[in-house]
Amino acid sequence: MTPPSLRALARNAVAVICLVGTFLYFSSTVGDAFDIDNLLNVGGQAAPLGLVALGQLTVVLTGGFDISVGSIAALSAVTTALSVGAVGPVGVLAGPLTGLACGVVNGVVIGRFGIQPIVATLGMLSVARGLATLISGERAVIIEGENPLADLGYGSVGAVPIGLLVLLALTGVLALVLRRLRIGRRVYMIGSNPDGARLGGVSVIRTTVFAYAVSGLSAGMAALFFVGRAGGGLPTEANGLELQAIAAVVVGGAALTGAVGRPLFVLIGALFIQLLSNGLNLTGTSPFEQEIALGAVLVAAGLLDFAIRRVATANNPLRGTP
Amino acid sequence: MSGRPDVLRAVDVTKRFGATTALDSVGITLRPGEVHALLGENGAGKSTLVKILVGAERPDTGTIEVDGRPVTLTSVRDAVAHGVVPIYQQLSLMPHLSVTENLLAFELARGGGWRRTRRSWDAEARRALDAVGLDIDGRRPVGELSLAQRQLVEIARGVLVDSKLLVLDEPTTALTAGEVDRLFTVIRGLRDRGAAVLFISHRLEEVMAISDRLSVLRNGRSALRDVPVAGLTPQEVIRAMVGRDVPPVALAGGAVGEPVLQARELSCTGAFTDLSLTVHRGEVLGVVGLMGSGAVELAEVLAGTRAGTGRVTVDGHAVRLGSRRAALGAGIGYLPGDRDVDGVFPVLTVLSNATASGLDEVSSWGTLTQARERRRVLGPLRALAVRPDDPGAPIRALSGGNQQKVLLARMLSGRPAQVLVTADPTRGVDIGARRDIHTALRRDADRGAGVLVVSTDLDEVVGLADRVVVMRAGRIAAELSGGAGADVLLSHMTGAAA
Amino acid sequence: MTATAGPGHRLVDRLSGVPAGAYVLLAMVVGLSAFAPRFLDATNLTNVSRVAAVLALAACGQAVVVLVGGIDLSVGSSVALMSVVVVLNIDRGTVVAMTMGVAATVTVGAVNGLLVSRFDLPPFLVTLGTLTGLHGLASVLVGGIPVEAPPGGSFSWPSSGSIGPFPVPVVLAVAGFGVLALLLRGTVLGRTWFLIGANRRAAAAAGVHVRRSIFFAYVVGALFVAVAGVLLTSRVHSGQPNLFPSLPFEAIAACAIGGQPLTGGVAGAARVLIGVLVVALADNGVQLLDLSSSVQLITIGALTVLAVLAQRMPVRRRPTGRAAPTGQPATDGATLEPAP
Repeated sequence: MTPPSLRALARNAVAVICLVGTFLYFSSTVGDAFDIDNLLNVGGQAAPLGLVALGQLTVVLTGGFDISVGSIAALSAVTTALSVGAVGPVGVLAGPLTGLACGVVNGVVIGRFGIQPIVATLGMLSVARGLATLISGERAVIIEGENPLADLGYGSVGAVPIGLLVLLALTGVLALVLRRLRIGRRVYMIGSNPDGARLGGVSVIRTTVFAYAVSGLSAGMAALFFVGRAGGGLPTEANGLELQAIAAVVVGGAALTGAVGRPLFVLIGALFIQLLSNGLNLTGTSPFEQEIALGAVLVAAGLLDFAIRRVATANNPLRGTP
Repeated sequence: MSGRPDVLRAVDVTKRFGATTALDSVGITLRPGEVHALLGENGAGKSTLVKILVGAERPDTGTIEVDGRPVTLTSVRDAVAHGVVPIYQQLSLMPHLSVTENLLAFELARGGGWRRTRRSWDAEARRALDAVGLDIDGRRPVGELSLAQRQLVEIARGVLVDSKLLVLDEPTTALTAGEVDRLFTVIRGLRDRGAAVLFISHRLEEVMAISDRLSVLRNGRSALRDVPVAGLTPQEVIRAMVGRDVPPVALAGGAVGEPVLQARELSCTGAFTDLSLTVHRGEVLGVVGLMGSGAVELAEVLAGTRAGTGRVTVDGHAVRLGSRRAALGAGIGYLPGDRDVDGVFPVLTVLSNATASGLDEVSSWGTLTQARERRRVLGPLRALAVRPDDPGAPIRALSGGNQQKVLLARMLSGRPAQVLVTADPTRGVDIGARRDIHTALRRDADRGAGVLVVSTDLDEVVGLADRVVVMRAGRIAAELSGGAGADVLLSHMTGAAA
Repeated sequence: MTATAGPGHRLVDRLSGVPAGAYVLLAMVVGLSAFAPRFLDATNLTNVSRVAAVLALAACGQAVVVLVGGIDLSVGSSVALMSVVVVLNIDRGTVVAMTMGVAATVTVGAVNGLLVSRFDLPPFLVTLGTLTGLHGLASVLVGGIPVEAPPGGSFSWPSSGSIGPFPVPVVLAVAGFGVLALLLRGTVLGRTWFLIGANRRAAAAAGVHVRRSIFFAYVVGALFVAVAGVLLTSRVHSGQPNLFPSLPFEAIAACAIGGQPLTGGVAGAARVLIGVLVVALADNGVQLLDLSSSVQLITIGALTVLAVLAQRMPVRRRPTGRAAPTGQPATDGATLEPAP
């Protein structure tokens, strides 16, 4: 039987190989445009994607997924811009709060009412995007005067972009939560065996709500970066973000069946996606061609997950192995 | 161990499911510091009683007392909170999490544990693991452990919550002899420390070795109740299980013809090795065996729903293994053992369920007409006395027995099968339907098919089969003629026979 | 025929076999007639029927995929790609160009079907990937800017022409429903879809070629979408990468509102019709009441979730939200189709 440690290694290696491979490829083709400064830059740019990928990981660990994160981010961007315009810098809280609220709704619909994630998050995707368009009056909500989030978008501490620092910090926080806190372990439990978890006293409903709330919150926080960079909230923001997030999660070694996946490698997966995007930009690939590449990456990641699962079950008749 | 209250006492428990009475005034007393075995054939009511004792089902009448006080167990979690711990064949373990974490999960149900520090928790887990003799690192994920080790983790969970009663359901099915020994040592240790153990098993040898008392259920009633094992012979126990009821009416068989299915060197990893058997035309061949003997897996391999290696031929033509379609094409019909999982299409009508295997026969150029389907299917449905016999009825409206008959009609209304493979054909089926199904199987054999019946119901096999093969531990233990009684079969199945 | 048995009737069952969606539809018709003054105008109704026709065909395609327990999020990008392919090849003649477009769409369906059936990839993942990839492809082919087709009679015919007194889109939609009903009730392939959706394991045990049947579900679904694409391309008279991005959501909403469980095993042309009409009227209502088009999107999303909630109401499901690609047996399926 393929030892589980070897399988876990294979899953985690994928992200690292992709990241390193992409870096090597582009540095050889594009040349010295790919230096350390550039890499740090990429890290900073990857902040919103990375945050959303971390949130998505939490949900995927429970055996579900969340395709509404892009729309939630857009809605949060709009509410942030409006709030800042109305009450000043305190208004930045609107972003994470909006995201959190949407996430909780998702979690309740899925956890309490038993609706499948695809339906619930599909509904939220439409509703959130619609709301974003509605309350923004179908145009960008510009922040007049000083943008309190400009530093977030463009600032750096020394050579390191703030975005990258935030991303690294939150990766650490999530890793801590998932590894050490009860609620984090419960996420793995319901992903591993919901019946067993229930027997052990775990509230599947509460844990599900938590997971989707985290996903929504991460989208809300990602929105702050969008507002910081754009100088306002666009209802069309983050179109396709969910796809990138899921790709990052799958490349990062998480299993779509749940209970397998670690924040560090999802972070690497997100960095890979961002690096790929940047590299393709530098080589003159149009954003549309990049879309094709992204679609292909997602499918390839899925196929890889399939291959790893196949090898696992072929060699082990026991149930429930990662 | 007098003086202490009984851990759990069930009195006068009755449970009905629709028209079937699963338990009729059954009682059992589990005392501290005793290993109590529960035996009975499939369908005798064992699993229903166990479900009631662990809180998964509520009895219709009767009382359950824990420590002398009557309780109502609302759920398994509730039962665990009362100190009753079921060991379920690791269905409740979380494979991705570590051993320590799995142990922790259970503690939650008892309302304790969170205020401790991690170190004290690790120490507690270590103690529980030591108590069951499991010398592994608590940080290892449960998914890495062997079946035997996982079982010990589940028992360790029970130790951790100071459980009063451990309920072990067929714990030795997939264990090697050495692992069984280790398990028994653990059980004895638990018993000596004052826990009560309910040990459910078919394996007479083991039961006699480990238990202090035993109870036997037959047809939903107590045949033997709380009897000390010392002083009982295996034959007495078997007789209690099988009873001195009127022997089942044997359906007269016709002439047995030439071989239609031949299996040679058939193996299935983890189930059986190197089996060879032959089914003849006109013959009903019964295959019996305890859970874990490989009998059910044999049916699945022959039907093509489970992978296996070896050679299978039908009428001399080789059949590709591991493909249901290939088996179907070769003329092997199949009635699966678990109709809810593998057989019934719950949201569809009787008609759709009945024609599912034979769509090619009722269509022309890929088109279907209701009229042709009904024509094809009405005959078999009527012959099997399916009620209601309206093909447009939703299959959910039919009783279990009638649903099973529809599945049988499915098997019989396609292209005439050369071989019929069935597993537990009358599980969960009322007496009338049972008779109809047996008659239909016999009739199909008489018209020239070879019928293989794998069953855990010994009466069924005794009444129906021309020849019986007994499987034990993945091999054929005996081949007997159809006249062999249930007690003889059981002896061979449990290894009690010489 | 009323559905019987089982613990607890579903909301839809309770209403004597008529899906709850029909009552919603009735309420909407009454409501709109009362509060939206221009609703009953001939021009409005004709417009609604044209829009509904496109949705109807897309929903028929989605219904087939949902029947086997899948989902197709890529139909919006699919029709967009089709419009681009058609317009870029318009100089080969309308019929040839349209055929090429249809071929492109069907190929997409085949790719989706292959990935889902052969590799057991979750349908949402696969179609999410094709959604993005195809949008990219369509955009690349036109360099990011919509391409106008030269004005011409035959190109416009599918969307604005008539056959006798009936607009072509309506004829096509009706034909689509007819084909769907025929497929579902009268073909072996359709029956295998029901079997797989109802209980995939039992279907395999009964000897159904599960993988092949699922593959064809996606291909047939794509065929329906292709016809919808013909209508759309003809109407906008150009190749647009952003032709109709919300089409998959509207189609899924229509299926859900019509009472089709998204877990599979149940389907019917009549249900799809009801769902399509509800969605089309909802869209129309939003327009007539001068509400922003974003309200449309909100309504669709909310309706979908509410419809699924209504299907499941009396039964508490275990909320684990597994993304398992292989369908679970639909043991809690909603109403029963009178026929299969």
